[in-house]
Amino acid sequence: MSENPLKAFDNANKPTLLMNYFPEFRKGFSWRTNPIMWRVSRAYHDVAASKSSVAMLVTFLVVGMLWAVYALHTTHYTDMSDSAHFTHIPLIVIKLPRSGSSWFTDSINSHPSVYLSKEIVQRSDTLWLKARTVDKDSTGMMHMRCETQPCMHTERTCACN
Amino acid sequence: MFRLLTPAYDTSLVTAKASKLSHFTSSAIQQHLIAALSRPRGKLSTSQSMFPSSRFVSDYIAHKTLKPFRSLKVLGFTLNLEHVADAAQIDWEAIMRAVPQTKVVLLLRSNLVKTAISGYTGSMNKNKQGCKEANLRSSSSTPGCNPVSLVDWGASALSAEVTIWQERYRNLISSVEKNPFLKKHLAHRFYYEELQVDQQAAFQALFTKIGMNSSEAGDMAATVAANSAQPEGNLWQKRGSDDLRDVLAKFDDIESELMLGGPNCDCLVQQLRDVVPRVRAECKAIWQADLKRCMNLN
Repeated sequence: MSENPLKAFDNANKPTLLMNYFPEFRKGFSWRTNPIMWRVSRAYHDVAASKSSVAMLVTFLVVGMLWAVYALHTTHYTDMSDSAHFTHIPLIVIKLPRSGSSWFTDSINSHPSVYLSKEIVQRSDTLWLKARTVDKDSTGMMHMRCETQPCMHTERTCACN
Repeated sequence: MFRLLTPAYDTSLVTAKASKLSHFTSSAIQQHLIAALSRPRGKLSTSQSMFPSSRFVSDYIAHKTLKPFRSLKVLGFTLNLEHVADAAQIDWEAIMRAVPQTKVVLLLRSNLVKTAISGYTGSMNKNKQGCKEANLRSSSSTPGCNPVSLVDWGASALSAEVTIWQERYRNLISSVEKNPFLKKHLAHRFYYEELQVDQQAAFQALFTKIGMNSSEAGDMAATVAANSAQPEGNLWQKRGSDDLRDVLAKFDDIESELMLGGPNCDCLVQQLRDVVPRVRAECKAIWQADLKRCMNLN
């Protein structure tokens, strides 16, 4: 039975095409005889076997790169921590809630040469909340009191010294 | 001593969070503030973590403008003074001694009526209406978030909330002005309404006041305004209408009652009626006004 001429042509030309693209094959290169490439190849196949592994690897690489940039940069600024060498203007923006500070910070941070850390100290970072609790009376009205001392509260508010 | 007055509707949140508080000593806070004026830093709460906070990553490390590879011209932080002043006695002298070039800016909102309403709606949205944050990034709008659109306050409820915010602002300003080190470094008072009216002009004034020359300040302000105008730069959406007739169910009753209060109420009536953002020169001292007399509060 004669071979399909088109298939025969393909079979005859495959190695040639392959060698055009991968000249190493001409020199008798083998994945299995190169220990480094063999291990890379094995690792690739092991990882590729699982999509979740690939996702984990990518995540790990991204997080690692971000951490490296963060660590390098922190070190850089530590080296020039003497304020006499500052090339920037140190800025403190003092504010209250509902003052548009989120919009303000996002806007000013859109400039490539500006960085303001948004609300650097949060309510939960400090102790004062521990001194306050809330009680409800029989009518359901809430009253605040300070645990350490009597609360000076008006009808709706409480101030803890 | 800084005394804090918190609106009553925040109290359930206070109780809920009280059991899982972390806290830092005043010395740790102080060191973190000094560090944040010297080099880019994230929030205090993540300062002991090996990895940076997501906010620090998005605003600095992975910011699209490649900030880590640039020389910064302005570096610092925003700070709600209520979060540090009551418990931790921050030594501002030590901070200013460590970073003597520091500039302080007060971010204020002059319209107390809108501040009070915003405080209420923001708290309700976050705690009761299923929204993630009091301020919503347009990208984080979640299904089930049903923001408050109508506030059913009468004149007395509005008055009570306004006086709370007046007291908070009065405390904030006096804390800065009575502290010689903060006062000495105070460079500018920045009004939210100015930002609403003309972002570029507001930032140009800010950059000039903190020590940049006028051409550099102008260039930087123009860049900020241009970047913020882009759709991806405009992450924050204002929820409330600027016309309080759309927000206060009893607007007419409140207006009539406040008008009975005479001259003491002039600023409040004007702020209630304002449908475009503005800083009224005659109302800049509203923090000091005797609003209790205006609103018949004892």
